[in-house]
Amino acid sequence: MNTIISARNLSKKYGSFKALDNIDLDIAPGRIIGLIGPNGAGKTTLLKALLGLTNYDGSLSVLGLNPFSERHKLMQDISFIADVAVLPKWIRVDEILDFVQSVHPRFSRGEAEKHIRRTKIKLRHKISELSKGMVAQLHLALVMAIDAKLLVLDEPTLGLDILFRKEFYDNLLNDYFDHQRTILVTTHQVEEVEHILTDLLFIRSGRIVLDASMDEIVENYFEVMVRPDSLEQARRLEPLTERTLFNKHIMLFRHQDKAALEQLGEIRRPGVADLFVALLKEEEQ
Amino acid sequence: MNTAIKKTPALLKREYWEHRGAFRRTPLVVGALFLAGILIFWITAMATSVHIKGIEYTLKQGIQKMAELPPEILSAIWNGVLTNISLLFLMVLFIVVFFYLLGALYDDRKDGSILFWKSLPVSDTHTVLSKMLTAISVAPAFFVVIAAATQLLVLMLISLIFLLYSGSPVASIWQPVSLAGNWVLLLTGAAIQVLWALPIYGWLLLVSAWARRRPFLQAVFIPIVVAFGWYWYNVLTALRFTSGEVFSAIFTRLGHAMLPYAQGALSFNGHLLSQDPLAVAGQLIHELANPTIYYGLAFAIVNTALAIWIRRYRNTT
Repeated sequence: MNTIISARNLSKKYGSFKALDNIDLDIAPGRIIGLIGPNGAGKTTLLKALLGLTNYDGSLSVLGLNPFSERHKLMQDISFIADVAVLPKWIRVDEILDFVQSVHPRFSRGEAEKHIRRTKIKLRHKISELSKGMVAQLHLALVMAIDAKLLVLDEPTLGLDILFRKEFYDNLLNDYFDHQRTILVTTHQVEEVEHILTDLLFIRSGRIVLDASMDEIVENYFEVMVRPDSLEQARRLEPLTERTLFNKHIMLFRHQDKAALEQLGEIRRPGVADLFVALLKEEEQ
Repeated sequence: MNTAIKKTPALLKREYWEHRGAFRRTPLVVGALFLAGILIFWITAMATSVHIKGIEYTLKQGIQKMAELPPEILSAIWNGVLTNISLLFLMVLFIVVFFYLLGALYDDRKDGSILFWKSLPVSDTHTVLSKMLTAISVAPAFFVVIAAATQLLVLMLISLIFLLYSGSPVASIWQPVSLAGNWVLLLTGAAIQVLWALPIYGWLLLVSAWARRRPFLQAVFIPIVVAFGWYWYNVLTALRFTSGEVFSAIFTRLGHAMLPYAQGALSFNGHLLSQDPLAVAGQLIHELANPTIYYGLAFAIVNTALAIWIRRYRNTT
């Protein structure tokens, strides 16, 4: 199977509002994809459709299954963290381990306990006794102990402090990702994930604005710290955006001859957030 | 299907973990209240006197006189005590299950934990059925066992008090009473209660699956509105002022579901309460011939199926 997710004309309407508007999408295994978009762009709806939590129009296949009608089968091979607060408050840590162990054929309890031992969480703790960060650690421990083919993270670190956030992604990358698995992540804190992403998916108003690998982006988009004497020359090359930072002009270019740009100033890889803003502005014009 | 069956014990255990307080602590408290009630009765009776057939006795005299009562009266007294204990347990059970089911498909949508449950390979059908199964098996099991133990402990405690006053518990209590018969009645009552209550349980699950807020108000008021609507529809279209069918359907079920053998326990046999719990249980078995039970079962199945269908779409409140 060379695509793990495949969508054709995927649409979802809420009344007259098109949350997803004819999306075509193919995702290959072994990637870490960042799904980036403003609020209300359709990120969560797209994830819900992928996870079988909502019905939709068009065709969608995830791991060869129809997610809405075959959700329970699909969940043997998918894990997801939808938000930090979703673990049930009344359950104890050992009970949740018991439960997942009984219903999930690909869950390794030993693995989960190994991850939990590295934290301050005790097996007799109730979820309601844990801090927000500890709940996220526990959820990640559960998810990392499941041998899934696809992991979906929807704002997994929302509301966590920076230490937890960093540790979260470090654990994910070091202990979980093995280049066979696919991770699909959405977050507003793009800077924290951009170094781990292999692919970017920009979504806006229910449409895919950009679907590219990081390699393609590095080849096609350049950020240049333009020297003051080259400003006019640089502007003639029609940058996507231009911004000023500490009196330095920073311009974002697409499809330009790298050698020509090097004449103008120092070239850097563009940040995902800047790229996103640039593409949205371009689309608006 | 096979793997689904293997997961069922885990799903039932999860319901138990979440509702330990309601399923286990509640009947324990009811049992403790009965025992405490007997102690309180004892203490007040020590200070005052007991009346038997209009004659005043001290507690000690009363207890000793009791052995002289005819055996059918003694058996009516003690069987009456036990039957009423089990009846109260079953009534509390119905109330506990009522609120359990109202929250069963609502609470996890409210706190967002539904997204965690749905991230596991368990189908919505299986989840909803496990909640119904909890309502008709796990919760009643706790109540029945604890009610049976309470009946035994109540008799033992009363026997102890009798011994303190040189009464003869064997002759006055243990020979006339039918503890085993009361246990049969308790079990039969719990089973028949489930049959009568199932349409209500199905309705509660359905409301729990679909309500965006205030499931209790919707569960209670929609049936009332429908019943009034039916009444007024008949008044206005046919000038029929007697169409309380919907009300009576609702109240018949509520009555049987709350007090499955109230009529049996309270029906007078001459001037006595029914002496024989097995006879009451026998009356309950006869209710199985009542077609009303089966209409209710059909209603329960439709409601549960709708609850499953809604559960697939609703992930929030």
